[in-house]
Amino acid sequence: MSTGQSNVGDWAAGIVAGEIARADRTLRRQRSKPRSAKRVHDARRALARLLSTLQDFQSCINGTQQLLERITALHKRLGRIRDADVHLKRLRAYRKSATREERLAIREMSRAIRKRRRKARRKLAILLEIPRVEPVA
Amino acid sequence: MTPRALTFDRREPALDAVRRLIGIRFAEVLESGRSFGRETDAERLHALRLACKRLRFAIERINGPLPDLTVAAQRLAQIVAELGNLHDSALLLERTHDANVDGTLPARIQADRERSLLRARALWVDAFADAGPFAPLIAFTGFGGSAR
Repeated sequence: MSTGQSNVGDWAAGIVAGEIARADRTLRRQRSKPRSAKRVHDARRALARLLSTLQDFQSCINGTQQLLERITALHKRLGRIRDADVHLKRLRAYRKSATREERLAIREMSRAIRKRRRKARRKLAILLEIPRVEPVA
Repeated sequence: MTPRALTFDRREPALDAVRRLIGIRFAEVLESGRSFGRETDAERLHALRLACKRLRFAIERINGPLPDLTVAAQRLAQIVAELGNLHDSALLLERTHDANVDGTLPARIQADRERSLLRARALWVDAFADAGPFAPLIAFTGFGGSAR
């Protein structure tokens, strides 16, 4: 629906519906391969966009509060995993030209980050078991 | 900075609502970036990143008879990416402190953080140049004509 041809209520509801479908798709893909950094990133990006749209237009779409809370929680969990993925990648890059002492430090840090990532993945999996909430247009 | 909550009447034309939303989100970007040239505080830089991201999303939702703001959205994406690298460096530095790592590794991370900051600042300043990437956005909203 074109921005120029509708009222904001209908237009925003259409945008939200499309973004929910996209977020849902990326979350399903992430669930089918939870260790994929790319799928985590894709799901997080889709949720960030949806979150922003809901925040912008919550005044003209009914029933967004519960959905906002759920999307915020999922986005936060995915963020923890994403941070860990990025940090591990950065540490691998630093390792290539690291001194012996730095390598030991990188190994210890990587171990701690991987542990944090496992915990974040578990929490995300639990959160994804909770039934989803739909907004009322 | 928390995004300003907006109230729309459901029956309001979408075009008017989008115009108002983009104006407000751009004002938030300008407010967050007010002292970008001197800013080094990680939280404030992160707030600028989030404001840029919200504005980009608002622009990318447009589907219709509004000026083409694609170039502005692309520049916002570049700034967001650099500030994202900077944020990752800041978090990674915290991890080195948590793990009591000293020596050259924190210095290397800090150097990467500073490089990201310089690149983000250059992109920001260039965005406000005459006929620069933000020119259509400035014309559309009617404010924000310089990188302060």
